[in-house]
Amino acid sequence: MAEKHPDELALLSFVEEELDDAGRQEVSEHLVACRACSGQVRRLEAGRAALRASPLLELPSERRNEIMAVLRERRDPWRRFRPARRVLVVAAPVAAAACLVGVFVLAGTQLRGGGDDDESAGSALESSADERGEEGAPAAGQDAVTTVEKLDQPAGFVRAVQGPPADVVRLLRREGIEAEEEQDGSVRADARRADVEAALAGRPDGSVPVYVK
Amino acid sequence: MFTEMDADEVLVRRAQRGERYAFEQLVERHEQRLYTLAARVLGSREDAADAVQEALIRAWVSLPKFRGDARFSTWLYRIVVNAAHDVRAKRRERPVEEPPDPVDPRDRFAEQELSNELQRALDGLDENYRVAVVLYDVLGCSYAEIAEMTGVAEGTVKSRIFRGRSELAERLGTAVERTESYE
Repeated sequence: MAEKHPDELALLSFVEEELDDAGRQEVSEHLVACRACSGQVRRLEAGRAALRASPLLELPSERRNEIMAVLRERRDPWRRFRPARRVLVVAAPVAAAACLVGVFVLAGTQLRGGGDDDESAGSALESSADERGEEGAPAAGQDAVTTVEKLDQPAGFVRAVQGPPADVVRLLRREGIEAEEEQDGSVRADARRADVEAALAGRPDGSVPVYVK
Repeated sequence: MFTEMDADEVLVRRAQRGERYAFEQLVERHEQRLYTLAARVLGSREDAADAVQEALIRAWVSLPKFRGDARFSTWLYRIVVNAAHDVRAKRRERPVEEPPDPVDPRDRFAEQELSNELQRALDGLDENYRVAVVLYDVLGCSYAEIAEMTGVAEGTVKSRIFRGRSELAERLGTAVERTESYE
């Protein structure tokens, strides 16, 4: 038996054929004479063979569907940035208009020489907001977005999603919802709105309007 | 040539733009390997499915932070290994072992695979060894990838593979004490 045994990393490298010629030769010569190391190499090869012969496992379809449903319910991690941008777009003009009204009211009060500036301006702003059914700039922005969306929605409209329409139809049918592509490129689904919304939850916004019958 | 990694990159970029459908496609591409990793590490189908679910939720939430420094699959494997570790820790906290769920007859193949001799031998290994050999020999990860995933040096990974394989062979009874020449 050779005097010095190769260390475990050298034996693994030998089995994995990662040694250079000189290293391989050295280990080979040792293995001829060393029963312990040659047994160790056999174990490494046997362990590798057993692991590499094992097939990949299939996630049970029921659990897979559950997992996908859970994922679809999860909030879009980017979404928290989006409403802020949308609110800003709509709220900025509203806030500017409110400020302008405030300036005019203030100016009017000053011209009238009134002493209760803050109260007058405040009530004028409130009244201005009340007329629009709003309660302040940030909330007003969100309400405005909702209102615009509601006004734009034809009857039965669910949402506009990423196309093409044929893919949307397939997606809905895969979720058990009967759907058809209309000539105008929209998709009409024969199901409850809530079910269609749930089925489309994972689909990004886009240009294909989806309606329920 | 358009490789599997290229396809992942394209889908990751689309998913990072908020396309859930692209993320679902990524899940479809990797779910089998993720489930295999979790099942082989945990030795239980149910726990493995829980770990995969938890890992995919974590991946979805963390996707904006994925910079592409590592392969997407490697990034997912690391999340699955961590999720499997958490599932195992929770299982240990259970005061009374829950009875196993009835076997779904449609899933007989998976059940058979998990209960076979290899899984019993894997279950007997130290968890670090088990993770290393499954990642290296079953999923084909490199030493460097495993080192990155598990937060240890490459030398430690090799040592774990060495010990994991050796012990596995002994448990399987396949170690052969022969004196054949390697010349």
